[in-house]
Amino acid sequence: MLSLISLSDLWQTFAEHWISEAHDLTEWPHGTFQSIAEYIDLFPLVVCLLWCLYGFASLIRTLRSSRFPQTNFSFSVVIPFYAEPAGALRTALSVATVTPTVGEIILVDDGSPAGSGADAIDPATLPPRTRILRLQANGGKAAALNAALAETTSDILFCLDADTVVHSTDWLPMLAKFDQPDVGAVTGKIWPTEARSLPELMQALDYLAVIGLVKNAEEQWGGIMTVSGAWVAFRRQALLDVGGWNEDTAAEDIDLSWRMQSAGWRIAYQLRSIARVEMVPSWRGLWRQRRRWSRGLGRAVRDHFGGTLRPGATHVPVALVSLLGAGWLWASLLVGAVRLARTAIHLAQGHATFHPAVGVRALVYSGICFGFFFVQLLIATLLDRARWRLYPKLFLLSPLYPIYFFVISLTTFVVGFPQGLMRRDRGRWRRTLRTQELATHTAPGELA
Amino acid sequence: MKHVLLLSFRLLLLVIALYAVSNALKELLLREDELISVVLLVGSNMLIATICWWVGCWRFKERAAARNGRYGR
Repeated sequence: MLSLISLSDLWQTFAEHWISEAHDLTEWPHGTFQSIAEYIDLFPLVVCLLWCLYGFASLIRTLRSSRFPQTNFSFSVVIPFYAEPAGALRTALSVATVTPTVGEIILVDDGSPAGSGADAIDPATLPPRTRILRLQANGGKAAALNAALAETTSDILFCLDADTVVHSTDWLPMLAKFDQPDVGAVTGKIWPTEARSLPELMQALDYLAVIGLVKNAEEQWGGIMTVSGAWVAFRRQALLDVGGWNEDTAAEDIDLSWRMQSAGWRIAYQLRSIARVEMVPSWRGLWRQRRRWSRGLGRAVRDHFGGTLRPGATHVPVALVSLLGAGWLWASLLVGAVRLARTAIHLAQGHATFHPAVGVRALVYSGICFGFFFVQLLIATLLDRARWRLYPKLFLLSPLYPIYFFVISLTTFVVGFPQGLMRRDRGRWRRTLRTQELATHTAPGELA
Repeated sequence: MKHVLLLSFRLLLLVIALYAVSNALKELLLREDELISVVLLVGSNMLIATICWWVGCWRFKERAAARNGRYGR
């Protein structure tokens, strides 16, 4: 039982804490570098905590059984492809088994070159209610999707990439999200297919512990930074409202997500609806793919950040966190460079390399970061409990995630984001190499 | 004008929420004080963060627009 005196002490501690915080603000810009350094140390832990809290809330919700009402929406599936007919066919066959029955499956051949086998698809091998829309010239994925949009009148348009295979055959959970009239798109959960090599396993870890948990949290904040272009459903009305896909960007999914949310449409995430996507099999291919994503984010920020400020825009919290995240990456580089320079000067002056306390502090901070990541991974695996066989491998690999983050995510952001901010890039299709093709690949220029 | 004020207020609340979470973490990880003080400071910061984040994420405009039939035309 607390006495009145101890309550008074506690109140004093509380008041002193906030007075001290307010006092720090008045001393600006004195201590700015220290504040930036604190921001760098704390920001990843703050967002990790937010993702975990929202993940935990979703975990509790998933423990309750849910029934989804029958839908009155008509829906079609669009599978754009370029020189990848076998993949597109495999995707179409996986879609043919879903319930409720798909109204129409449209395979869009985006001007595949002769000899790729795209023109030799046997109509007898196509699932029922499937047709092929052939475009004369290769205009990019966005152009292929726009062509399909013009061809269909369904209420909902599911878009899948040709390297994607549907895992959840019940699509009611995804369709049920459209019962809310302000939902313009619903993106599903991505599961990597057959992760065997180290790059594939690290991507599996990334999708499971980071991307999935981030999307889950973002949906509950009100908006999503980007739909997964490989597995997403759009309300046709919302697509028409924003003028369809932008054919002038290489990351049409990020671009469309920001435009749609600026126009007041909400984007939802359905973690119960799963599709399997092939991972990029090589480090080089992965680096290029992530650079393209960062470039797309740079483009989206340049072209559509103003839209965040519009009345009715749904992604204010997401835009803020994205901006702070981008700032964090740049600030990390800046502070890292300053600390490195200081150490170099220190060494040049003949001082000892490090005070032992610095090493201990770094070790404790690394331990705390890893602890947070471990909890994040634990919540993500509990949310994703159907795939328990993969988890031991991922937990063993989790100490490598910081290296993956700094070598892949940070470097691609540093290179790609400014490119997206500064230059226009046509969204011409450049295929990402698939696992089966890796052994026979001879033209590195094809990698995207 | 009303929108600018509302947006500024939302952004301010969101920033305060993130700041309060980072404060809570700082207190939790660095404060070498008695347990009850740490719990109080972490709890108060998290309470402030929760309220600010919840209000900052509240979709005033969209809900009003949805009521008025803006969407799903």
